[in-house]
Amino acid sequence: MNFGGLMFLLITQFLSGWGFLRMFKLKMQKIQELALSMILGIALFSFIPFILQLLYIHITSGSVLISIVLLCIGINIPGLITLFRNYGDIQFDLKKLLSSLKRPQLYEYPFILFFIYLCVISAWVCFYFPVAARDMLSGPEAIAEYTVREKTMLNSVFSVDLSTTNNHLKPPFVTCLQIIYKLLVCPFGQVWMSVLFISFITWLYSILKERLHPVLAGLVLLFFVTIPELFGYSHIILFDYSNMLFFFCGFYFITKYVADKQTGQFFLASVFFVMATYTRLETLVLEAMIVPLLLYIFYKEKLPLAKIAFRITFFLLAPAFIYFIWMNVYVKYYMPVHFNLGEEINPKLTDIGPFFTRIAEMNTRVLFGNYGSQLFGDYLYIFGIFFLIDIIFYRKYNYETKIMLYGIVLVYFGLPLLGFLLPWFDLMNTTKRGFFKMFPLMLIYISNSGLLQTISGRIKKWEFASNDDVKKAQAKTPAPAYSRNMKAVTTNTAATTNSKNKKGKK
Amino acid sequence: MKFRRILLTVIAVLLIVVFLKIDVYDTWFTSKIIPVFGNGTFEEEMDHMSLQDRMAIRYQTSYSVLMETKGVIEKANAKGPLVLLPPNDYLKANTDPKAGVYTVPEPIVSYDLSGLKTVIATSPNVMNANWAIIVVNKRLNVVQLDSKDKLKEVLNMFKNYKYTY
Repeated sequence: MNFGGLMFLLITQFLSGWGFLRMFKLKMQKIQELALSMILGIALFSFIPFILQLLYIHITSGSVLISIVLLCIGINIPGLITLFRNYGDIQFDLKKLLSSLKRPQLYEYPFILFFIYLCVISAWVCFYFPVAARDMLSGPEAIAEYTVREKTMLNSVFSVDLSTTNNHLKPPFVTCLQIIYKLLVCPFGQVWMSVLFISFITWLYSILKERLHPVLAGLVLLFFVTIPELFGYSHIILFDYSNMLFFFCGFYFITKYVADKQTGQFFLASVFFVMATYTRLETLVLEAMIVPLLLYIFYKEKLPLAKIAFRITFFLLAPAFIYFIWMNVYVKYYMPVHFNLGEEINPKLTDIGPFFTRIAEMNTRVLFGNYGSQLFGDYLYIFGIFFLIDIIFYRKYNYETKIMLYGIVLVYFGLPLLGFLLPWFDLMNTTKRGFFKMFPLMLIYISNSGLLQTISGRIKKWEFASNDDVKKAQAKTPAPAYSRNMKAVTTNTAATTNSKNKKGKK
Repeated sequence: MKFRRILLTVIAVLLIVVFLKIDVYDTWFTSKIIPVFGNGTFEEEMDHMSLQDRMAIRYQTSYSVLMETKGVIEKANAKGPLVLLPPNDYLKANTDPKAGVYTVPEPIVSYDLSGLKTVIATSPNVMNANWAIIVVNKRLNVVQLDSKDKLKEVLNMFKNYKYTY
């Protein structure tokens, strides 16, 4: 293993992601900025070999290194200009970033240590073993391996009989990262998956802590991390874990946009949906299903029609562009194989019976029952319990829970729809792994549930009960999402709040 | 407050322990997580750090069959070998189950793992195959297909089995 290469990649990934994130001018906790920068850095790097190939440039460690450095510098140009103008500011910024990483409280350590243990296991399996999934070996992994040997993604793999697979047609997200990591880190690549996984878990923990007492945040994250099938795919590289991650990030920044109304949040959400499409092209269909939600949000925000049209067009066209570049340019004009998407679409679209059959099978064969438990543990039941308690006792939903529920319903019905449209979108593999996309959405829902918010509030009160620390704690900890103002989406509440504010001003 | 924080720490530990005692998580933890480093697995893995060893551990017979085939072909100094792969059901039906289950992957995976160019009976260029993996007396054999008749004979042996991956 080339530790120097790994360090170089970690640093440049972070810097590229950080530079990119700064373009959106968002304010967030520094730990979140760190984790998101890493995630975005990996996302950006995944385009490098693909762009080199589009330009017919040899893919070697040299060309990849130069591209990485150029990307890293290019994306940080605004920051670099500031550096030259005001060296002290940047130094201060970096120092601030590092010093603001707070030490966890004592009671956070059991969960943190357990998560570290799981991360180490996941990283070891990623490093030690070669790629396992057949979908990888019969496409992206083979292409990546021979790209390293032959310096081109259009390599001798295409001279082999490909009649048993269509995985070589899958978008190049995994292939490209495998190429980079094989060239610069270790022969099996894969370690990027651990970087993605660890960054994601860190980020999730931090956003959960904004909503809940750290002990509860740890517990809720434990529910999520220990989903057996999902944890498995933290070290079995495939498209679905990354797809889930980017899809969730997109949804998360939509909720942030609803709360804060920063344009950057909306565009960052769009970027994450672009990445979700780049990992699995059919995500485009699910993204189209998000448009009604966006229209509603923009309508409530009373945005001018032209702005709404521009944003919706951008939201749809940006991922569609990725789809176009891959399917209509690369696959069509670069790849030495014939592929007709039309042949892959269900010819009997008027017969909607299979759609309902798929929904039924989805519930009985995958989500619930013994097999469902083996795959997803009790996670769905845990979500169900919190959902029911909310319906029966609390009946309060903030904008975040509403958007998360929208996402859950969207995935629940979107996946069988995809299965209906595309017969190769099978139940036991593609659909099963597609459900991953629901899980982080459920996690945020659970963290906002009335029951957990109540318990969390009581623990905080009890913990700081004795002295003035209550005030200190309240000042330090951001208000839980549950108690935040419900902006825009919640019609009645928003109206009442506005009227109250107006009265207050008067 | 310090005492309360210590108490919360104890509660956190208990929560993890109780959670991992739930049936489904207990099974997952003991069967999938602990064995990664436990039961001497880690030490054994550290003893097998070469790429070949790690590939052999991961892909098992798929890898060993391909590498042995490659060895035979290289020994024979064959030029432009194209190996006809058997269906896995054929291997299962004709080999000794006590010797283990032999499997061979599809052509693209075979190429990735071993660098060998292979075909299956349904491949468009199957008639160019000049080597094959077959079973003789319940044992795997790598045979050279020096005539079209021999190739047809092997294809005939495979015809009742389906290729599934």
